Amino acid sequence: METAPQSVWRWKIAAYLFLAGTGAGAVIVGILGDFAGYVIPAKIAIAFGVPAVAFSTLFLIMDLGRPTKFFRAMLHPGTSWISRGFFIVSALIISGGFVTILWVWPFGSVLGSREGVRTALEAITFIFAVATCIYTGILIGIVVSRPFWNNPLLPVLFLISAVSTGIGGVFFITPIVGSVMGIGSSETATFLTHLESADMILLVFEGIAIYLYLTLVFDRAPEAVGLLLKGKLSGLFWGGLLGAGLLVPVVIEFFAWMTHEGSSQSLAPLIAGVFLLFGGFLMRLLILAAGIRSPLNVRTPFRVRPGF
Amino acid sequence: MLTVEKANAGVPANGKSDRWIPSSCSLCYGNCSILAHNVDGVLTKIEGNPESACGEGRLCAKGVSGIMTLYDPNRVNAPLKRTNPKKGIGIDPGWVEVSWEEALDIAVKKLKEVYEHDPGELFLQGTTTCASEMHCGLFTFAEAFGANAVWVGGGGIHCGSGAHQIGGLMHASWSLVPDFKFCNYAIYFGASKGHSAGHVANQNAQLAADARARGMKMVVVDPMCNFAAGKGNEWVPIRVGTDAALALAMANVLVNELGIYDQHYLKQCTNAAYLVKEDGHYLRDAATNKPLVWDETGGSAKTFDTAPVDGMALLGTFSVNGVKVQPGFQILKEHLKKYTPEYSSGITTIGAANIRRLAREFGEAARVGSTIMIDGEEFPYRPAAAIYFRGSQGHKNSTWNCVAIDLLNHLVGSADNVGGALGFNPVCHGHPETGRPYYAPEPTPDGLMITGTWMHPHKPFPANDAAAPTTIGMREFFPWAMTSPFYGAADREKWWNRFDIKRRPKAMINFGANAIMSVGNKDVVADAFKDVFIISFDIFKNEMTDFADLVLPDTCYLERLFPSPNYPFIFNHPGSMGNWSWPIRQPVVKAVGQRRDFLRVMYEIGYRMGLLEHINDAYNTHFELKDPYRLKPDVKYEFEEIVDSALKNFFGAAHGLEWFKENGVMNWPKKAEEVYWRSRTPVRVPVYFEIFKTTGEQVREVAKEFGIENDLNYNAYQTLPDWNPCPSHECKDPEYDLISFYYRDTVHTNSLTLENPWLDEAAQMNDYSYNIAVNAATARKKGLKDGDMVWVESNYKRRVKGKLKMTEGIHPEGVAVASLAGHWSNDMPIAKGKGVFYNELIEVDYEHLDPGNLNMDLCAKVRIYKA
Amino acid sequence: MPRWGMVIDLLKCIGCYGCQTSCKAENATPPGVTLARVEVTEVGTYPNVTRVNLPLLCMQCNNPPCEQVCPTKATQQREDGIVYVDEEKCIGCKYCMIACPYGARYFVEEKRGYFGDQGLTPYEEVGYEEQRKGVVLKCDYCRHRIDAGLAKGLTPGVDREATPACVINCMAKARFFGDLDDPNSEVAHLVARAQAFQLNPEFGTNPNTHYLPAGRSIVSTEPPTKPPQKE
Repeated sequence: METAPQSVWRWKIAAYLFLAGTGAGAVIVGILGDFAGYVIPAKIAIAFGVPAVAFSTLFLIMDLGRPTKFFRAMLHPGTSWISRGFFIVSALIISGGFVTILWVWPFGSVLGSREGVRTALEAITFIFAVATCIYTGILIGIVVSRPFWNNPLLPVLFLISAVSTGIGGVFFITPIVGSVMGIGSSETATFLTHLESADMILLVFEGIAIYLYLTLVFDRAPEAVGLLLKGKLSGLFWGGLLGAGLLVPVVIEFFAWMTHEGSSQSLAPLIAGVFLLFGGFLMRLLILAAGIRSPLNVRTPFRVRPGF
Repeated sequence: MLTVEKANAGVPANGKSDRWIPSSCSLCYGNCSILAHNVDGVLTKIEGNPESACGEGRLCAKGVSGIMTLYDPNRVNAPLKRTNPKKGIGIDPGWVEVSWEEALDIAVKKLKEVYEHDPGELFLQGTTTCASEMHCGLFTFAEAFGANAVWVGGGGIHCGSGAHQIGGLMHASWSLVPDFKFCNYAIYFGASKGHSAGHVANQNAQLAADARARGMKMVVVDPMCNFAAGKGNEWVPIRVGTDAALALAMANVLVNELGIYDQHYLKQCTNAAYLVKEDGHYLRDAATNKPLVWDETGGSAKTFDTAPVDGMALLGTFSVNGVKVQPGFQILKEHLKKYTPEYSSGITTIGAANIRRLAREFGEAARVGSTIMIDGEEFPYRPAAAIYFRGSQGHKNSTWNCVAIDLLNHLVGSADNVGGALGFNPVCHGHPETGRPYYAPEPTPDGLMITGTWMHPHKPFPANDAAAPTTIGMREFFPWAMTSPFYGAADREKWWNRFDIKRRPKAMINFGANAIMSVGNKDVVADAFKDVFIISFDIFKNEMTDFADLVLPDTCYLERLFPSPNYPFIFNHPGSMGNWSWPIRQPVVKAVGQRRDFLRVMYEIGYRMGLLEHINDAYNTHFELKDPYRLKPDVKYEFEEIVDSALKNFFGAAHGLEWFKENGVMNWPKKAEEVYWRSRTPVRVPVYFEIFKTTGEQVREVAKEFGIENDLNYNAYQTLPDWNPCPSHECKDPEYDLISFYYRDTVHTNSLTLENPWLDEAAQMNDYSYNIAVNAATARKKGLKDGDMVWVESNYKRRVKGKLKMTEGIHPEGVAVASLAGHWSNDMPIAKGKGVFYNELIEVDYEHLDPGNLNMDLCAKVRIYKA
Repeated sequence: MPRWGMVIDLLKCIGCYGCQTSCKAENATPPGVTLARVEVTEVGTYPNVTRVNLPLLCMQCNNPPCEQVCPTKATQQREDGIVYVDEEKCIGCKYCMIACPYGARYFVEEKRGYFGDQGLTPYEEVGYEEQRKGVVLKCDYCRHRIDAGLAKGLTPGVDREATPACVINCMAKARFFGDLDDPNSEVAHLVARAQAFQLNPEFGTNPNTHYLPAGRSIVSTEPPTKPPQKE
């Protein structure tokens, strides 16, 4: 009968992968923004990203059979990517937490002019943010018997998507925070305009990456690719991920870029952000769902009697 | 090895009880021996009993799942009385609990009423699932009561009358298996023995597996590549219901093209040499009335028992005292010529070249003339077997389908010879200490074989003379029927009126059978039961229970005592060499609620009706009790005492109930001449069926009296086998282009086990169990795809809905459904709605019965379309 | 130290589900958990087709991916090769289920019996231990039987009591159990056969459960020589 999607890790894990990616992506964007001099939006991005990562782990814990014993997950870093992830994400939360607390709120004065410390902290946070995006790809990418995942491109795809959804998060959150708190509107607008252009390119890359990915895994995982392209998941894949998650934000960003509209006054980034986030979540969900096991090979020799 | 003794020795010191109790399974009629683990009163595990030949320590999926039937919270736990007088499908009976005293009063009052008016108005119905208790409880009570209407739910009337009748007639046994240990070539026709469930499932599965590994070639003729075909070397897809056409063509090739047949066997063990007159009857000796044969050595006719065996003529035309006669075999040989492979190919869809090949392979594999030494004695060695069962026999041509297939065994002499087709245990010389049980086939004056033992009071042969019927089953008129489907047939009133039978069923005792589901179309069967007062022994309230007036909460097999779950050995005891095993069934846990054992309650009812003497006498007959163990007419026995007597009667005073409770099973070794008895036993079986012709002439005479001579089908009363079409082959409407059939799923027994959640879980994991299997190409042509909900509709406009399973493993014209699923009772919540209720498509009327043995035709002409 | 292994002869297996249910009875596994299971499929196209019955259980890999990914070390491998879950340590992350190539692991969502809202049967009351909720279960070759049997001086694979439940119950005697490192054991002999194979060796798992193929030539019939008879 019809191939069933992978059903062990479902929406909660997808939500974790998505939120952790988005948060880490926002942190990456924020730190890059800070290095580029967009201080206010960078602060907003980091202040959004770090809690998002922390929040994402709640989904992971919720998915456990025994949530209260989650801390045991750190006991096997020698070989388990969950244990390793535990440390990576914890490190991101801690160092990003310091960045947030010491720079953004409420202890902004503690560091004073010791910018070097902050830069170092941000650099460490940046590394762990990138590591978070990548490790989620390795987490499932190492599973040999699920050929749809078992591909070196997966961490790359996750990283691109994380940055893109991070931008989506920034799109979504920055104008709101900016207008509510009445800070940095022109700086924010310029920042967002740059991000729009960057994200447009990123989304094109993501589209190419998805295409490459499917081509690359097709030989080893035809059932999984079939599941996405024409099976149970095809509606979500074509309409959801490619349509709403990629095409729509690209179009919005393209028109925003064409009209050179001031982004802070425009709803465009906000709307694009919603679609970007939706697309990012769907991508995690679909990649998880398409991760079906290789069929077992029972070596039944099958031959027809000669002469018949 | 885990012995009972060892297991029971270790009662833990902490005062907890921990025992392995030997008993017998009864989640199907196979009754394999079990060990049940009782820890502090709770059943925690069922394993096979390695000390018994009946399973040798293995169990099927059902056997190990019995725990979930025992502990099902939906079990009936108290007697229930109906309050809603209206009966029908989906109508709430309005059950109220009553005490056992009140329930017994109601039952006894009603039964007395019937008894005093006419015992023939009582109808007894039982399930094959618990065949041993059913046979014991129903037949003893029927005997004591004087009731003559007994049927065995759906299992009985679907597979019994053809397969078991011919098994009894030709092999003195209930069923046939290849002698797996020696067989080199087995050809199965609609059978799955050794590959699925049923009689001797475990032992046969292993024997068949070992045979496969040894290299036995297995050819499976079946519309579906199912349990047996899926393990076979060759699957021969055949059009549903045409097995006889193939078998007869193979017989034709053997006899007329290849000249392969075992002359010595045919002369010694069959009536092939009996001389037949032009009127179709034997030429008989004037003095002794014995059939004559032509003695070629003396050039004269002699009685069959005085002529030298190898001098008998099989072929030729002779004149004896001016009467032109031919040996039966000569007539058979001519008769078979009609079945050319080309002719049969058109019927079966199997290529003529293939039919010739199969016949040649079978004939050559049989090694006619060879012998083998077993235990130091020489036996004929015929390692080829043709096996039929439910699939091939479940058609209007039931008798002849079985005869045609079995004929292959008799032509090459492989019947009950080493490597051939074995009946299960037709001969038993008894325990070495007591010589009991003892039975063996015996000859009639005509030399034909009467089985030594049987499951029913009346043996399959010789048949009674046909007579005008007075009973509601009308078996007097159908002497070859083992059971009558007329009780639930759509045209029963028409037939009763034809014979001016005024009797109508007034009351029914039902032992666990769900006849509303198991017989045929539910509305037809329901109509037959709606005006009958029904006393129903049940463990679940099923669809049949909805029609009951009184429900008595029965114990299940794990709460019950029974002395002989595997006796008679012809039914469910392993057939080939090895041990004889006589296990008992005993309670492995205490029955909860107010459950009471069917057998005890029936005995009590008989006692309260004043039938004690008759009941005790019936038990004496049933358990073959001899003095000093015969029951006395005026003593009311506890059931334990009866069981004790039965056991001591067979195995001596030291081996009564107490011994069996502790040891579980009595074993002794089989002898080669018990297993390979055919060449050692002076009995013959027919290959020319004068016996049927004789009955047919009597039937015609009786029919004349009632003016219905021309309303009858006499196909069953010929002297030689033919292929006759099923009604589904005769449907001319081109819209109905497929033929549906059912099969018995390996994880389920009848309709009962669908309520077992472990088995239901397994069935749900199987793509076929609960779905409608259709050939993939056929489905594509109709624009259907895997998983579609479809209707299967018969040409009688009856239809069932289910999920489509596209498969490559089915004949393009076939539609296959696993039987007896699709429960709708709310009181069986696990079973409800699972699978497809195939029997909805089955017509129950004379038109759809074998006219001789009354077996039902179970295929239907159908179309399928999207729901 | 022995290395316990199993051999399943697919030629002998008839797909009866006896292993699945006997495992259930032995280990009192909750609904949806089938530590031993059977997959029934077909191969070929009409009329050249056959059924394939594939009995599965934990392959007890020498190189178990489940053990590697387990973040809590709840999954461990004993020296005798048996891979088991220490239910005390398991947090139910299900990573092992993701990593197992054979679908041999099951998550227990809730303590619920086969009769749902009707409550647990007495058997289930005894059998479903509290700590099982929220953890992952897997086949461990009935290590309780093996260990108890060894303690009594019995030989797993030879003595019923010391042998996995599915093996002793197999009606076709298609399952064999024993010490793969003992060159004289039945399983060692069977594994040494040329046709013996492990499921998907490309996964690099090197299972201690081996199979013998269902292999035999499949013969079919040709199409009919004449068109079907018309009445």
